[in-house]
Amino acid sequence: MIEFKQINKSYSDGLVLSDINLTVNDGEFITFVGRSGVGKTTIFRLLIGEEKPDSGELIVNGCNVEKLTKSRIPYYRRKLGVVFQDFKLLSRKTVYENVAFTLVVSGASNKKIKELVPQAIGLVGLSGKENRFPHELSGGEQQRCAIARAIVHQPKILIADELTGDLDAIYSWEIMEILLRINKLGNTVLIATHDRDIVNRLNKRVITMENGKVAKDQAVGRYMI
Amino acid sequence: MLRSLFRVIKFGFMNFWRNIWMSFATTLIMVLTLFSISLLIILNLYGDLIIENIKNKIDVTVFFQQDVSKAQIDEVQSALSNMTDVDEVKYTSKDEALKEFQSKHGDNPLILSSITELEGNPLRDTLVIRAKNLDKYNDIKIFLDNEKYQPIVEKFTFDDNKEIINKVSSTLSIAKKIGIGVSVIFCIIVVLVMFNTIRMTIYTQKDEISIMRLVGATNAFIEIPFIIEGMLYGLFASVISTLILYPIILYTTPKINEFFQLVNVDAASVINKNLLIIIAVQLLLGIFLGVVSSAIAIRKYLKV
Repeated sequence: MIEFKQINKSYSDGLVLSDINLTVNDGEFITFVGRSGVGKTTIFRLLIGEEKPDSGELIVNGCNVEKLTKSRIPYYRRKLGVVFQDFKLLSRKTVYENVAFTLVVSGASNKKIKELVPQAIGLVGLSGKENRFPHELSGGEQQRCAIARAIVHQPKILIADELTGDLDAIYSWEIMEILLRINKLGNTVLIATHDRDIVNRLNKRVITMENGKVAKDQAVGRYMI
Repeated sequence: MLRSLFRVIKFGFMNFWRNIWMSFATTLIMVLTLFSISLLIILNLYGDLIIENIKNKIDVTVFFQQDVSKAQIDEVQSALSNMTDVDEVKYTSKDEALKEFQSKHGDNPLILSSITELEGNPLRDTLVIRAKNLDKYNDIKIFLDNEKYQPIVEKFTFDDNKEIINKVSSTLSIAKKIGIGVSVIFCIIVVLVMFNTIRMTIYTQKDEISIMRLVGATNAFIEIPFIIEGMLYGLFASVISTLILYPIILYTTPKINEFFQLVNVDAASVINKNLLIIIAVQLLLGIFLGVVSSAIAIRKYLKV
């Protein structure tokens, strides 16, 4: 469970989030929508512990994220899966190595790496392309590789910011299907997107942000801006 | 834990190999630094050796009057031997001295004939006195200047090498100062160069580092590979420096022995005795400089 309680956050150039109150139950699939700069990315940055709120509490599975010390944050992040808009794949590593990287740096055993990496690659449909380098993949495949890296350590929560930003419609929906599959396995999925078609097609909970506030929170939402 | 340790070491090696030319240049500068410091140590060892050798050659020779009896000489000898500052007193009778002289100049008939032309033995009974310490010769001089010995002692010569010693040690101390100056400058250069190299490694890996952070690598896991990279420069440089140094030592020690006419001491054995220390100093200093430069670069460019 994720709880935002009275969260406020401002940067030097202005208020970004004010009075955010949200509860996300385990296994939900939530889409954050809103114009650029309304605070979607800031919500994600708070969630991964990269920023701390000015006030309020952020509780993720019983853990007070805003109170985590710097040395605890890495261990907290291992419980999350994060996918970025720009993929952030390592160009000198193959698909397999990119996906395994999460496990390597968090100290998993080689046995576990051999077991989990093919599973994750299979889940995103990249089986057979393990030895390719990122530049040998299409944009959609790169995105899938990034998802595989985010889920390989089997986090309960998956966060994806502007996931389908650069992809065309068919690829975008393929990516969404993968996320739905991950969601069906019982994981919480939080995404932010600009893609109207996707939001309308998903039929999942939609949170609309405006000026750093939650403008709408609909259980089965549509893209309405 | 052990697994992570193994992995960070592997990452450190990868950092090193990835930028092999820059690593090579950095290692080379580290070699220069370690090499100059080793030379400084060796200079120190040689310097001590040379001064010690000159000191060994210093002695006071007492020449007795012609008619002095053996008993009188024995008395002086035992008095000198009882002095705490005296290391050794060696008696040479005039007959022995003559024999030695003759054998020494046996191939020179002119000198031999001039000796025989003189009536009797022109040489004197002598005592050669060696002090335990360079500063004690003055006490021996004062002792011999005593009125009691004046009638029997014809003269005594103080083979004063003090001036040479002063010259040698002042030359050595200048050389040492220059050596220390050069070494310090090299140390600063090596830290700057290594700092820059590691900064470049951090820069070229910023994507990797940001991903490491986001997927939950600990700070130690991110930082240690750079520390290891720094240590590797020190390790390789000390090995290379030793490989260059050893042949130089082998070549120079006989020359040093010969040039300074070292007696009882051997430059090679002194160096061999200290070789492990020299290698250890290089290794530890190299690793220390590597770690320090990495730590500065990490502190400055790896915001964690």
